[in-house]
Amino acid sequence: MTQSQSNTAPSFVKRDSAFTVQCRVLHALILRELKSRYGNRRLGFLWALIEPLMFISVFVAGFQLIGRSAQGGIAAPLFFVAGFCPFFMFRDVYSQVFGGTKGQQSLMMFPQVTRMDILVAKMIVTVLVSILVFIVLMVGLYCLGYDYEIEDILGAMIGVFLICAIGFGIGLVLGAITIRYEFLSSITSLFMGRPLFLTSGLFFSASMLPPKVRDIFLYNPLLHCIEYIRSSLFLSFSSRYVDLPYVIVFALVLNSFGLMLLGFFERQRK
Amino acid sequence: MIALENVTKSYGLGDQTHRVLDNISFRFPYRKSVGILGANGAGKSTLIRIIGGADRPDTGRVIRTSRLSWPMGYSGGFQGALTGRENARFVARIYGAPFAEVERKTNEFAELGHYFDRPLLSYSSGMKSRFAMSLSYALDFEYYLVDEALETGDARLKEKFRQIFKERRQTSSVILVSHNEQTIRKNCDVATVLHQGQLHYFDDLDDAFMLYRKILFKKKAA
Repeated sequence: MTQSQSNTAPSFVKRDSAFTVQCRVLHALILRELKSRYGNRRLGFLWALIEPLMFISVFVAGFQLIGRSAQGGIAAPLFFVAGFCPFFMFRDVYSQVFGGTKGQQSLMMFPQVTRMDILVAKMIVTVLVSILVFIVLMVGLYCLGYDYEIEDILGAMIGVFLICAIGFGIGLVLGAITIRYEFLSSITSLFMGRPLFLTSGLFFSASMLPPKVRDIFLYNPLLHCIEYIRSSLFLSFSSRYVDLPYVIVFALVLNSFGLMLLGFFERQRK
Repeated sequence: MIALENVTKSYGLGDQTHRVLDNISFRFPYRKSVGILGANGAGKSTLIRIIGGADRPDTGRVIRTSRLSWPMGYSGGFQGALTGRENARFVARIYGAPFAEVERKTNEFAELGHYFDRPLLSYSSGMKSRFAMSLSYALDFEYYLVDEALETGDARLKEKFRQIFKERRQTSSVILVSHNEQTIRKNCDVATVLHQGQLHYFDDLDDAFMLYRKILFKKKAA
């Protein structure tokens, strides 16, 4: 094969480093995601508030009916906010990542945009919005007269980070597997729905469970995260059952496994 | 530099795997317009997706150290709920180009008027492709990736885009994929023929057309 000469680019053209390009792409994708999800609709962010608000109200009302206004030593609304918000955060990150592994993303037609960029941008936007919802609800309750003292804000942030990391990891693993084995999607949605909702400690804490049930539930890393977030947030709540190393290892294994699987199945995409 | 290094890509069809690109190595010449001719099903779209990074090769790699466009005129990567300006800004951002200039040039080429600040969803398909084409020209690429269609709009706009393309050919490189000899003849300096997973290079367009015709007619005879 003969090729003509002068086929190299002039050397004076400045090249951006891979890191610069990466940051630029993420920045652009995040802004785009924010704008298209919340930008043009005034009510966009309100919708994000409404779902957890509804769930929490229903549970508060239900507990009121059976005559309980406190749970685990804290007022019921506070207890539920610290349970539902992190859980929804996990669920939203998971479903964004899971959905993002599907389909030919037309954005990838831009040479410097990779699927991982898209997933990371989606995750960041989801997490930011969920954290904002969490903060708004917490502040709202405080204004309504529910007094609390935050014990360890760093701990709460670590808990939030871990629960999101698990959501990202599960999204990667299940998303990658269902690229190839699509029929598994119905099973994954079954497993990701009610079982996790019921065992993650949204409306109970680990110490309220019978020991035998507790031992089983504690395999669920989300329960650890939520317990950890609660005990970091509220001085009057503490948990003896949180096993952070377990959660960290869980998240690490899921994410590395998920990255591997996605790399593998991405090539087999039709 | 834009180059393919031992790029192989197969697709599974049941138990058979069909090797669309078979260990292709090719360096796209700088400041030349390269045509890639291929019959239907020869793997042209796969090749363009791999050059542009939308698909990954099974083995081998693509070297992209020059500013490479997305397939010209392709508007699938835009967000319909956002305005033309917002989409232009998004693209400027990922390429690290100055917003103001990109926005100005895009609207200047596309002549969208106040539609530039309306959501893309409200565009007609003609406006959309005009927008996509103009945005590609508003950024100064070193390599333009072109998939078939270069023409859009009415006669006057067509002439305008033809003029811009002619200018760009002087300063940038073009990678144009087509099944049409005429398209290649009009727009390219050199050509390659994609056939059975291989890329055959010719300095002279006529030599490329000769091989291409041979391939087409053999196919019909078989």
